[in-house]
Amino acid sequence: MMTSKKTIRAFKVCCIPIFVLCSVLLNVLQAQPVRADSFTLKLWLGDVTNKQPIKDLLTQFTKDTGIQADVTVAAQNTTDNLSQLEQLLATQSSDVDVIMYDVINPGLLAPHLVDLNPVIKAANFDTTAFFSRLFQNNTVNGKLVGLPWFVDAGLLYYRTDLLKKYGFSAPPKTWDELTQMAQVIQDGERKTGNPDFWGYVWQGDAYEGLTCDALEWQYSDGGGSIVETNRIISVNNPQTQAALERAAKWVGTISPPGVTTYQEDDARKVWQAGNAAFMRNWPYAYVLGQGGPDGTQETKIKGLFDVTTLPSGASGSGAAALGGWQLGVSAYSKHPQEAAQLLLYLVGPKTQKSNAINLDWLPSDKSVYQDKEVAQVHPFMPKLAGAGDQAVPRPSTVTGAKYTEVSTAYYSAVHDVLSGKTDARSALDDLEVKLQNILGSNFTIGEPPVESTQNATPATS
Amino acid sequence: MNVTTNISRRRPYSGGVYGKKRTTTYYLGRISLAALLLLVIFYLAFPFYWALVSALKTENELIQPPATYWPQTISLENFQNVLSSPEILRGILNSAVVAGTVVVLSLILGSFSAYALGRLHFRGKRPILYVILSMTLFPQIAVLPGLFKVIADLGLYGNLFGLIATYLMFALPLTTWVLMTFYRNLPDEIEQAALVDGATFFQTFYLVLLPLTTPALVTTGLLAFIAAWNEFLFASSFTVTNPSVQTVTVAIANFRGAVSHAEPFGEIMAATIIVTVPLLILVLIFQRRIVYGLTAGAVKG
Amino acid sequence: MTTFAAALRDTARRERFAHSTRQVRLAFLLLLPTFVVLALVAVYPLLRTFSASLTDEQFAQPGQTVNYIGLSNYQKLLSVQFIELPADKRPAQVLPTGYYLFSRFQFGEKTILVAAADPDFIHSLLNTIAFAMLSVGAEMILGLGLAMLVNVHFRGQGMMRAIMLIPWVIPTVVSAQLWKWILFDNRAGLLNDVLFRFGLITQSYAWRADPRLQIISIALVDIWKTTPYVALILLAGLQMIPRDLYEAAAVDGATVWERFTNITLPSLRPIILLALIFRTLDALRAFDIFAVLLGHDVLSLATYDQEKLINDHTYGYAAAVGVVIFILIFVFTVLYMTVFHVDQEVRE
Repeated sequence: MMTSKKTIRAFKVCCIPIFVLCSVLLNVLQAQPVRADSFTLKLWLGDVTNKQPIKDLLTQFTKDTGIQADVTVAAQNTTDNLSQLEQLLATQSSDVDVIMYDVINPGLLAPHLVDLNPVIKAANFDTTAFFSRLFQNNTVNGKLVGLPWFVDAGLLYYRTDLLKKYGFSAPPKTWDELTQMAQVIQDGERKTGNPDFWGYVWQGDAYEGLTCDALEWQYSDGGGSIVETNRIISVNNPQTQAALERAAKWVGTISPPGVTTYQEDDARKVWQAGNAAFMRNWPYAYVLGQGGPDGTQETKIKGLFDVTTLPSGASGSGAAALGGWQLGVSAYSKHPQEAAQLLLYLVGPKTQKSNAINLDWLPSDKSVYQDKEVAQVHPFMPKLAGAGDQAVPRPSTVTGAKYTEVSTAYYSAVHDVLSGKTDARSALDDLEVKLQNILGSNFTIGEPPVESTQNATPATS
Repeated sequence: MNVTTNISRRRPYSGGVYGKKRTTTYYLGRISLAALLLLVIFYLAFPFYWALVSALKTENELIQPPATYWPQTISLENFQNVLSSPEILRGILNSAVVAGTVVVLSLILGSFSAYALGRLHFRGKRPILYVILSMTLFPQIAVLPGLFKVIADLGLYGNLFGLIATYLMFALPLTTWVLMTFYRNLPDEIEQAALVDGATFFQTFYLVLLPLTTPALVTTGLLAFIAAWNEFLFASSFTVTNPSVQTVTVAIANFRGAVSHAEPFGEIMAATIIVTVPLLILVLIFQRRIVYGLTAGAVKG
Repeated sequence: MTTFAAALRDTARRERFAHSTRQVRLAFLLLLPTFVVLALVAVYPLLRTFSASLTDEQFAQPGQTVNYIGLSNYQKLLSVQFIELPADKRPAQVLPTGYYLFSRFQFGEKTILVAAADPDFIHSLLNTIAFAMLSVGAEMILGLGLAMLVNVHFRGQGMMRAIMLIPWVIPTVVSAQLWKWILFDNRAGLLNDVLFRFGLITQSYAWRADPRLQIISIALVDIWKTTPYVALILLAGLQMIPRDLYEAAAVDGATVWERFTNITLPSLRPIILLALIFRTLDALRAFDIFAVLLGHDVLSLATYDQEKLINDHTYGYAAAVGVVIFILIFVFTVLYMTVFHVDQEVRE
């Protein structure tokens, strides 16, 4: 029944100091132990990374060198993650020593990063092992702000069993071929009673991923890369217009109408359920399709698919968007020597190989791809050897700190075309004007370089 | 409040709930009430059921259309993965501490302010009301940079006190306003009854007002608790460099799959269940207090 | 120390002495802690936002020179022009510099272009208002109904109350993800599957992609999430209406409807208004739900603000957006208060 008034009152009075005590205790217990003589290097993790494997790497580092290192855990989506990092750096905080940043951010983060040229010279580090485009991407105004750690490139996934069933001998070489094959397979599968089947799934949501997908279409058609390295805004040209119109036709015919809300994993979920003939996605979907890192998960498509390079357009060769992660040293770190040591350790050849085996990430070191042990664990690795060299970087270095604004304008325009809100011509007209306003007078409007079609030749490894 | 003048006195007493004759309209009413109840329960509770079922499915089954309403094979893997990472559990603890402290502080301070604004008479009430309210009118994202600087300067970055302080910013106006509304509704005679006995303010407050407004207090406390529990933007921004103080919303949002880019939906749902169930139990315990009604004796006569 | 009793004795002489100093002193003491806390935490960020909106400050760029630019941020936000489009030209050739196409319409023979300096802002404003009206309207009605349902005594009442709170108790970050999956555009998504099984649709809809369905889908999620919040507030108010009022009315022969309109609604009015104000406040500042479900496709005022701040790094401009949101909500609040005559109840 009712407890006595005195007890209730006593309880109520004690509540407050108990809470205060609890929160104080909790804070004290979780405060970072600050010992005068030792320190812990902090590695800022990008989004989309599982931190446990990296923590294991750092433990190994500590064993090898005796320097403590740990990770920070920031937001999982790109926007929040970057903004949190920027806020921290704006206060010149020494809370972060080594920064893992996306391939599109060197221009933005350059003011906050240490020049690694002297570091490399001092350590005699061989940088020719990296994919050259990836490595060059990290040089901003002559300053080397970071080293590549992992590489990502867009790939075309295709269902080997369905291709065989409908009489196609090889994956499509051009976009038009893809469209046609996807239509045939989709019609066939729908007739046999699978109403949820679609021909081609990709990332059509209004976000950075769409910039990647759209760049692939337009570059492979000879439409340039939005803003060229010589400061020309080249995006408004007939080839890009044709590429966008072709993609807009896919929506609702060979791609689901909801494809304009798909990000990477949404497309993967449709594909992995067996409901797509083709998919454009990053390499991570390969491992998951085969049953996860240990291969034990059940999937409908295990053993029934493969990957290849993306189809080509009018230019005659395909293009894959360059993705990946880089490592740099914060300019505000209190221990730059040790931070540089950690950096070189993480991107060094020894760790690259173990990463490839244990982490399923594509290393930035070319030589690892041909390694026999790696190929044993991941048979698709050798196929991707050329990916890093062929990949097309987004115009982040030339646009610097304005890249996100440029990318937002670009993918918004593309998304409007895909969802039918405007036609491609008007969208590109508006986009050109907008980009000019964003980038200012240092940039001029012009045509894409003719040789952009030949840039995509694979480097022989 | 003379209510009954509006009601027609000539209407024959057809025997509603208080009569002995139960007409068909009465039964129809009860049935439609029950049907409505079921529909609303379905709408509110079914997504939770869906989260539970999704947490028990393997990813392979999750992504297959058409949807299944009970797992073909029950898999506890998602729950295992979630529970094996200490972040979620630590996040629950952090959230509980932060939310609890915010509730206690905002109820105390809020009820004082509410009393002043609701029952005392002085000049400048309206501007004060609007000023307090206007603190919550700004979108959180707009005040984030300024707040970031305040928190960093006060040395509150990376610990729970910073979160408690920022949450008070939106919890205090809420408790003040809600409690003020309830206090205003109480009849004036309450204090006069107490003052006859020569009570001080705090005695009146504690012995008379608090028991009478317990439903309001519990409700407001619950509102503030859930608001603090649900909050994400500030929690995420102010605890980045010290993951051990991250609250549960941040912990769940940061949950990664085994491979990069993957959104582990099943595991996120498992985390949801793990986080929600204790709260529901808490609510079940406290729901009696939410309903503690006004005894007629206090107001009659 | 004067007793409270003395303070109240002063109340009796309210007619002649408008403001008793004892009451004022007590009020001051009671309000002081609140003000101290808010001053510490809230004042600086708010002032900073106001001041930044008058500059061209960039977000997280150390070493920048910040210029005072007066009201030009606001000017850009709110500039709209109407331009006639000659038959032979494309919009891009006719729009003045700094303006972009917002929409067009036919006025008789002529095509009129609506050009805005910031069309995204105007879109986000319209989206947010549409969403707020839809969502808050439905929530108030459903919340009132739900509160009244739960107020009735029946077996399992406690369980019902706990169930009713479920949507609100689940953190928004996860419930938005949950609904994102429920709204998935094939039959693995719950909504499509349920409607399909009931025979209401023949093919899956893309709830988040189709412009006709987007605001409705998002309102559906928000209503699900916050109806309990409204119901909870209204329930507390319902609980404080004395039962004998109803009994007396029933004895006089009032019908259920008359009891509702003459007892429940008037007694609840201040509480309804309170719930209305807070819900509208929250709806106009809706962020999580738009960010997770509609991303950059359909912007609300808050997600638009985030885009300006985080993506474009234009802090000054984002601060101006924040101030405009603030003014908008403030105007709504004052409107509510005056329409419902709550101001008159705030006796000085």
